[in-house]
Amino acid sequence: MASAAPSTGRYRLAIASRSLAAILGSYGLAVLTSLAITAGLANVLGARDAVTLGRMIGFLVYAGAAIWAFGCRSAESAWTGIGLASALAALGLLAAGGAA
Amino acid sequence: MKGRKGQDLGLRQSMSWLHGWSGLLLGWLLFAIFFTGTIAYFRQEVTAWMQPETAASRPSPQAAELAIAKLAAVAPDAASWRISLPNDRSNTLGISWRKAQPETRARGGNGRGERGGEGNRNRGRRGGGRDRGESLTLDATTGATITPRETAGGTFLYRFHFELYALPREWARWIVGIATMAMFVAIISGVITHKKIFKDFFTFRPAKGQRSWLDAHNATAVLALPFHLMITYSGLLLFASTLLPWAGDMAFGEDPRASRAEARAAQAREVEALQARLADAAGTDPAMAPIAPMLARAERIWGQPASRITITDPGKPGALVEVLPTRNDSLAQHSGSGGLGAVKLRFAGATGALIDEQRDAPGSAIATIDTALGSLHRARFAPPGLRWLFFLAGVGGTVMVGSGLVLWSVKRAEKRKGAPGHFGHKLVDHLNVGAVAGLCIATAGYFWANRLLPARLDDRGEWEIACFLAIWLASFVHPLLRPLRAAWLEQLTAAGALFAALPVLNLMTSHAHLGVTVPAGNWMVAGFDLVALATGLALLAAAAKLRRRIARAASKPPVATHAARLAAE
Amino acid sequence: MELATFALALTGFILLALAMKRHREQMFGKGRDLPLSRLARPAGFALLGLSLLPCLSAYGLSMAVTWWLGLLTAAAAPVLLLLTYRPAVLGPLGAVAPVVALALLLAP
Repeated sequence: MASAAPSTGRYRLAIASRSLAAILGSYGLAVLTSLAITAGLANVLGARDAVTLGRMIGFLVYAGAAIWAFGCRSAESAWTGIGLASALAALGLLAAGGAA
Repeated sequence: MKGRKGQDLGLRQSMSWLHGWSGLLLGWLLFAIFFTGTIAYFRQEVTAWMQPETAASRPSPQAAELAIAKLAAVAPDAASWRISLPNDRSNTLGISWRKAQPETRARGGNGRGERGGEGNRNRGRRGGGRDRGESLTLDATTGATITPRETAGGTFLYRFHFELYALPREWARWIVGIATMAMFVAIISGVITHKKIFKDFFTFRPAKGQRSWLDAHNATAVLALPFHLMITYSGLLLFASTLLPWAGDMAFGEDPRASRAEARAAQAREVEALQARLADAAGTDPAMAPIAPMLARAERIWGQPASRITITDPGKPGALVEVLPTRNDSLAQHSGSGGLGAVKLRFAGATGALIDEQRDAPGSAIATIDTALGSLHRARFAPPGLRWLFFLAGVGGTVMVGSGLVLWSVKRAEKRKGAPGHFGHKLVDHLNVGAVAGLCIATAGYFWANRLLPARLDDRGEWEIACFLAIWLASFVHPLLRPLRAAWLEQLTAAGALFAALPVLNLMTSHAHLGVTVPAGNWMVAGFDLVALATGLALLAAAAKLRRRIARAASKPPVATHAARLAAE
Repeated sequence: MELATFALALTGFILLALAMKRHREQMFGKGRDLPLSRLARPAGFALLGLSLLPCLSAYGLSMAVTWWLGLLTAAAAPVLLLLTYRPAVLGPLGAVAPVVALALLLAP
């Protein structure tokens, strides 16, 4: 990635896009995941534990997603991956919210 | 096979990029967080050094009786007394009391200055909503009142470590939280980047420029990796309610504190009922049972001495005595102020009879893990030996971040092969000097200010902090006026000299210097001087090494000169 | 018990270093091979694992693991520094450390 003589502009755009995906996209995914876990498990674990577990996993998801955003093939796939995972988490949240 | 290897290389390169940038952009802040956080493991000891007036106090077996006699004299009608006994982290005896009538709560001040009388242990949480009442620091052998100088103490460095300074609390928590998140990403991507993590486990090749910086960075990262992972992840969890706030709102509804307030009220009712029973049993005799047997009993039960006593309704028939141990004996116990509060023994004040032992352990597996990680981060449970291990790991983390920052500069400078760097590189080079060497100067200067500012200065603690910040700021300006290597050399020398001379300054300005503290076996205060001396010598050694490099470089042809300069940097 | 853990871990790390040719040559000079150097790596890892036991005998699980991990770091650091600056010391140290550990474990 560092040796990017060809088309610096496009390269920079891709880096910026990946960075955004890593910083903001991953954060969105982490929030949605933690909320989905909290909502889904609140009845099983109790509110306090569900919140704690959601946050514990949320931070791991953030780090994992941020690394995925740079490890994957392209900026587009970074966004696709994080977007899909976020959509899944959002679905989970909606389902849990409907059940509760 | 080849294709797979190629792909692998790509991942490693992209991880290296991510590691470099996430580490750099928040590295300056992370260095400060690690540096002050490492010192914070000894914040009580630092405060003790900064209040040399307390050093003459030696622990004694009759400290508890002295405290009770003093409290009976100055606050006979108080609603409650609290006694902090001397222990292995504090020489003095602290007493505090709360008045019977709950008056308007005085929560003034910003919670940073440590007022002379307040001593250094019984600081409640800031904004804890409790009236801390009045307090005194006593000599633990004579019972005489000690009036130490006001200082921001180790508490400033501790708070700076996660709240920075003068920023709104939530902002500071967000800024530090983002840095912690970047740290977490940097650790993981760093492990992926590091190809030969086991092969290079013991490798350090000194005097080889970029190679040596990389080795130092890797060694401090890998050897203390469990600590780095623990401290970063637990740091995130401690900030979780700020960084991932909405889950709490969702699960607890509009008032997340309601359930906690409910639990507190229930506890208060229970204590009230207990005291009523005690009063019935005691009749009208206002005499209190002696405290020494209760403390002896507590020590037999725990296998460690008691360190805090709370007496509710002292001198009344329903008096209730609560005794707390020196430290928690398990990670899975909540730690309130001073790391205590989870375990206590309750005694009837009138008879001295043991009522029960209370343990506030988290109920579930998840809460246990959360509590244990929080305990590990704060290390308030840690006995002295373990505390030193945490400190050493913290030093490792500080060196890891510092060497990582320098490595970023050196790597790019070696790639440029002598060409002057563009603006971005220069900016990083200069910020590195102030962020790494400058913080060392500022911290040493903070301790110097503690000794040199007039003892009776108003807002003395704030002045100490002002000195710290002014010196740190100056250390960012200085590299702009000097060539880079000269800036490094001068700042490292200044930091080393200031730290190494602290024991001398202490000798000239207090009666708690090494000549007194070592023969007296007061290792708590002597330890500060010795660590300051060691820190100073290490910084001076680094400066001497850099000076030799510069001298050697000056006697060589220009190309080699540049390479050597870069290596030196 | 902390010291016993430290001594065992120190021995373990010295064995791990011995298992690598580069470090073995640092300690004993070039071309020298030790008869049992193939065993050094498994023995080293085994000792690192065993070094948890003294802590477990003195503390509850959570405190024992905390001490152990802290002591592992503290034991690895001197091995790295000695390999860099005084590699010849490591051989004798690797012989003395397990004796010290045993003495500490057997002492009443």
